[in-house]
Amino acid sequence: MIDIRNLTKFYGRGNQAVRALNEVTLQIEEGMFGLLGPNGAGKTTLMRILAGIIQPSRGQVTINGLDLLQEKDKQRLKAQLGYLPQELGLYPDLSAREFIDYMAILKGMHAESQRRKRISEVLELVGLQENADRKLKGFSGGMKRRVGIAQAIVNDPRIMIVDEPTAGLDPEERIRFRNLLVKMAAERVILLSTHIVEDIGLTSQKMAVLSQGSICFVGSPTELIHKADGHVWELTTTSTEKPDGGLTIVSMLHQSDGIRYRLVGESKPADRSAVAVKPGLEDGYIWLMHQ
Amino acid sequence: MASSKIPLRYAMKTYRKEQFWMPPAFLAFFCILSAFFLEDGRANSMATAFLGYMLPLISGILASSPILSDPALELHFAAPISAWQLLVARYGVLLAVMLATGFVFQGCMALMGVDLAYLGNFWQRQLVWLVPSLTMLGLGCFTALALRQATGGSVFSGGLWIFQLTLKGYLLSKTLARNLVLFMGATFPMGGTMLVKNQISLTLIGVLLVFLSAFLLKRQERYI
Repeated sequence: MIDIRNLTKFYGRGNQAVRALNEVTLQIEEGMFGLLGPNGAGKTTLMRILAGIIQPSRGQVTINGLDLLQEKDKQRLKAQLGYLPQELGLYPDLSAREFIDYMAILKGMHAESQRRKRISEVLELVGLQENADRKLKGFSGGMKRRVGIAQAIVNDPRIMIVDEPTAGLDPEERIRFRNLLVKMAAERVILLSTHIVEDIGLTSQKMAVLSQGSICFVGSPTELIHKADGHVWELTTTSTEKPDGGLTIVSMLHQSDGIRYRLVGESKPADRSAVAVKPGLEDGYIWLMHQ
Repeated sequence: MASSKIPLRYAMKTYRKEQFWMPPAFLAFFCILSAFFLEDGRANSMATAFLGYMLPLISGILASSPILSDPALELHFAAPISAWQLLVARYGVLLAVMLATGFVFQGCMALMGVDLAYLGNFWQRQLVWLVPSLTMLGLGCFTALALRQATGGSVFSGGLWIFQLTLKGYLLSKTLARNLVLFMGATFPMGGTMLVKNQISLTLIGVLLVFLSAFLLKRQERYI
């Protein structure tokens, strides 16, 4: 379990200091936990703090009873953690098997026979067994991400931190990747950070929304959807003028009879043809962000 | 050569290729130059130039990139390895490359019949290039980490080298400054106490810079 209390992080000092996280408090239990937020919300900062890479300015983090601010605990924790960074750097001249082997050694897996067996298992799990001995420089973006997941799970971590794992992947790879994460979440804590709403809706039972460094929602995706109840409308118009009145356009679709808008806002649009519709997760998120 | 956590084979495999090729490339160039000057007796000057001047420069330039140019640096930071283990693994390989280059060059000189005895006995001869190379290694590493930029580290190291080369005569004439001159061993290989003082100072500076580098590297968030 991950217990985060009043976590604050500043970058820089004095007048130049930027507050990246502001009194973040979260409890994350077993299963998949989604962390949603716009770019620059502080998601990566939070992920890096949890991975033991950067130090918080204030606050407390305990992971499975280990205090992340204590150096000894931090080193023990790193050995038990799986981390997939947003920008995954690989060595182009290593093969997938070698790269995962190297990462396994860094995580303290020194018994060679045990390591070899585990590497074969994770390569199979991510569907890379046939390309295991190919050099990474020939891999596609999706395959590289799968290598990233394989290195993150090679030490069979109880806790996994994955930062924007589907960014830049094609639709098929994204589906494959999401399914892989859900499969693994059955027996561990997975903290998934993303700005792609769909990724959270299709994978996580619990989620939080981070905006400008602060947590503005914690709950289930269904609860977030309900937040937008009575605030989502659709209207079809031939007018070239966009609907206004403080409404946010979630989507617009050109059809034979005009443009169909999906709108989120406080009050119904002035156009009489607007009808209230059931909100989706994206609507809930937009509503929350504009409150 | 590598820490217990980073085996030598991976320390080598994850090392940037150009770092392996640059020293041998200069070695080959200076061997060819020495061969050209064998007849008129200037091969000794070429050998001194390579050992006492070029090797420290190469050391400083190469030392600025092993950490900051590592594509998987964030994954290393997320692993249970210390700043020292990472430094030892990365700079151990560089040191090995420099040692191999220095010894292979002396071997080539011996094969070509160039007598390096004017640089002292075997151990004194090694100190002529090893001490300034270590100092420049520490300098390249520290400045790159301090500036958070590999290029900055190379430029600073190269700049200091050019500065010392240009003002060598002046610096050597000053009692305190001469202890910091990188080329003292190559200029006065039999410099006695003056050379010993210089080599001790340079070694201490190199060691201090490596310690400071480890201190900087502990602050991981500066580098991601």
